[in-house]
Amino acid sequence: MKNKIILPRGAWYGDINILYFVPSDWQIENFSIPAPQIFPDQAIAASLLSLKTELEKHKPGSVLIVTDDLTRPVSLQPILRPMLEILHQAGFSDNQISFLIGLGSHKALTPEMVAKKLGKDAAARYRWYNHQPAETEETEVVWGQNRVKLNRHYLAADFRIVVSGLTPHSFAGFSGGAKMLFPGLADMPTIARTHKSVLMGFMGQLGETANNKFRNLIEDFTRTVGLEYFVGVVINGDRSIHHIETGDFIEAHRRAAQVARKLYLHNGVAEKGPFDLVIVNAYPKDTELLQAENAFIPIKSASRPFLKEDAIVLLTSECSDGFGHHGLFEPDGLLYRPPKPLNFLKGRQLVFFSDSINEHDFYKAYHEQDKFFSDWDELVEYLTGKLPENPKVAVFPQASLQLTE
Amino acid sequence: MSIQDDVLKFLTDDTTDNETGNPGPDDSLLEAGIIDSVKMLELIAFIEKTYGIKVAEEDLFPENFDTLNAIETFINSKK
Repeated sequence: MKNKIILPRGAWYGDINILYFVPSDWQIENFSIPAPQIFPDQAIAASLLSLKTELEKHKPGSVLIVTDDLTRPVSLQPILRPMLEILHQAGFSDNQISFLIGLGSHKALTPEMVAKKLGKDAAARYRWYNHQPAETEETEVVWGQNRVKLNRHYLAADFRIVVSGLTPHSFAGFSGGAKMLFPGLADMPTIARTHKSVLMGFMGQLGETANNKFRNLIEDFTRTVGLEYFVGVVINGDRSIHHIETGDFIEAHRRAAQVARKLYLHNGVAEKGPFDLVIVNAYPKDTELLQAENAFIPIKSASRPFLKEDAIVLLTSECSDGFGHHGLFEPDGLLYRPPKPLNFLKGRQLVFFSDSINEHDFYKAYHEQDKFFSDWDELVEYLTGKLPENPKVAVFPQASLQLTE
Repeated sequence: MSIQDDVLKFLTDDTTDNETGNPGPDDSLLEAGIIDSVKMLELIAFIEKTYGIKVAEEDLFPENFDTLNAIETFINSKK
């Protein structure tokens, strides 16, 4: 084995590149996100100047900053430092500033996790809350026959800032923006209804925001409850900040989505195929097994197929936090269903590799026909027995961010 | 056959791995794994053809299609 591939692993838990040896006859096409271009600190500070104007306009007595959780890969420290400086310069004391983690029905963050997301200093200095679907109050938003409930801290705050990343999302187009409120800060019936509507195919689109029925709906909801300032963050393949857009939660999100789409889109994948093996590595959304399916984005977004009909799909994820938690989709969750073969793979074999999760947990989320490996050499031996000679292999090292045309 | 029998027959005709048995009138078809986005499209086409009604975009909510009772109520409201 002389050939090798490099896969980044362990977002939030070391972020290292690991080299894996593969057979020398593999014809490898590596589809990586372009090399990181770092958005300078001065540019971040300049982008946040509009926050001063908004604060002067609203003259709030307190500020609530809403962020995403560790299942989302954006590290907020480079943005929070200048943002908090602006807030303090505007006269806010520590106890007039608080943070709310927009979890939806994900697992509550521990203090250690919050320190990773916000930075140790901010986590220790300011009040922060995990969103809890039960801690919600009615809003003016009516969806179907029900009044939508939203986090009570959010509704009570004078001035709300949402800071979030934009990564390709299976139904919101890109994450962030209004999605941080709906379903991120909503009650459980709203979270469930959101996911049901999408699972039943009524709304939502991957990688598209402009004509996305789901996003249009949640933006209407957000207009009703109010959101004073938005910071949309686009990250590089190594999780460093590539670009930020600030201001109105719709306009800034649209601008950031354009940047994200340009950065994450791979053209010409079909021309280089069709492939016998496609390796999709879940980084940088590789903290838990329940989020590993984000690595299928290059396959799901493809309008032109690039897999052979009998191709094998290898999904790899670090799963640093193990199986994970999603109030709807974990066993005993409202929308949990016994695993079935994945429709979009159209009968192709799915193989999974992680050396930090066990087989028992894997089969709680994936079908018994899918193959689980925790040993790389055993995996390669299995693949060698299944693949033709000189197989064409596509590698998507940051697959949870990577779109294909 | 009743509307519910027709719909259930349509939904389960090609289901070879129906491990959980037939759903009750108020059981969630989504949670039972009987419908997904692809099956939903087929169900809408089936309803439109069989009952001669039009399913509009504003009708597309889980409440109208997630149980056999809901589907029957929806179809009757459109007749």
